Amino acid sequence: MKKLKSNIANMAIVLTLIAVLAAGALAWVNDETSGPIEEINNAAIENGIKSVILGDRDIEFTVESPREQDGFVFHNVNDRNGNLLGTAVESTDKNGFGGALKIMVGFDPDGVILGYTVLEHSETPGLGAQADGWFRQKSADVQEQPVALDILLGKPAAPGNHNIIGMNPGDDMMTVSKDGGDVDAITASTITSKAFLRAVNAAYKALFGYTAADAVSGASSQN
Amino acid sequence: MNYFKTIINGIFKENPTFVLLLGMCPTLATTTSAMNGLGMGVATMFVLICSNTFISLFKNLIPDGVRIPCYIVVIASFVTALQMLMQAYVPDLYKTLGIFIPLIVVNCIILGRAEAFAAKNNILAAICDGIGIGIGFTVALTLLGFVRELLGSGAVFGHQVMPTSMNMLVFVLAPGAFITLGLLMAIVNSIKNRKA
Repeated sequence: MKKLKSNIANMAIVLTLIAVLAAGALAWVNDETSGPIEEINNAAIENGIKSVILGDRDIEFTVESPREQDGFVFHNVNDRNGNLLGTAVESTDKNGFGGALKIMVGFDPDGVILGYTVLEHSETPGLGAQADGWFRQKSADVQEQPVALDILLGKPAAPGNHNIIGMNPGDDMMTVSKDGGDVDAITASTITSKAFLRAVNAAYKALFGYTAADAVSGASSQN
Repeated sequence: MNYFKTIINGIFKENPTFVLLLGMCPTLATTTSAMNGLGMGVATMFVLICSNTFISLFKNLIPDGVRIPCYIVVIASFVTALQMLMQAYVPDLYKTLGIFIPLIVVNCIILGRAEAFAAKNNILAAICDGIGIGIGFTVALTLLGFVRELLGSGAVFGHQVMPTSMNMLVFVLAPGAFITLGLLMAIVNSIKNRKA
């Protein structure tokens, strides 16, 4: 078959045809995959709620239907008598190192952090991507043997505190220690750490209306 | 046309990363670990084979005047379909690679091979070219990711092999990507020159 000539009619018809075919094919794929994708997303949210509120505790619970407000999503979790166990909040900070950082953080009714999980991130592997584990490790868990090189360079061998579980953003300064807060940033990933803590504070503020960091200065929220 | 030769050609003589220097954006951005490099390479290979096949099949139906827009629509459709399929059926892989998948649309290797090879050759040759270039790209990305992960975070495919205090952060960040790429290219070229 000879190649079609590049006159206006041929060009218009072929381009339109290809665009229509592509749109049709994509619509079909979208139709086929939207079901499974939604299931997976719902399952991820459900597992997230369970892990940030209950942790390892194995008790019966029910999740109220989610409530959305100003970009936050709240999931209230009740025990089987209908008493509030805590609230899981989906919170996003747009200024992570690699883009938006979306987390879910669970507060008990007093505002104490029960747990958190990172839902979506684009942080650097090996650095900011450690956020999912870093902020739940007790200092003892990560205390490494002092390494000769670190001692030579005068670096502190033992890391400080970066476990946020059990903290209460209403009482504790939930900012990185560089900013005068109580949480040690991930080594070499201060931007990620700040974004993470901003998301936690924003979630708390959306739920309870204030944070301890607010009271000191408004500056930390802009860093 | 020797099909086997076409495949080998894509891996060595016309390796997209080390020789043609195509697709540098995803190459530098995604190779922070060996696994990311491998995944990106395989995803690109899939799209490359599909688009090469399609374009070679319909090369006579596409008038020259609108060939670039047509290729772009075809490539973008395959990428979008791939993204949705991965999200639905391999969610774990999608979670690690999700943000890189849309980058494949603007990967000039795919448009480059469509224009330079698929549009001029028969369908079998085009598929072989897709496989060859795809493997070449995957090998290059995995190698780059391997070196950067080992030096930058002391791990091999996610398994820690060196103490974290020996990490050279720069290799995980952008400058390290350029340094590693430059050195790997020098090594590949010196091997090639010795053979010639």
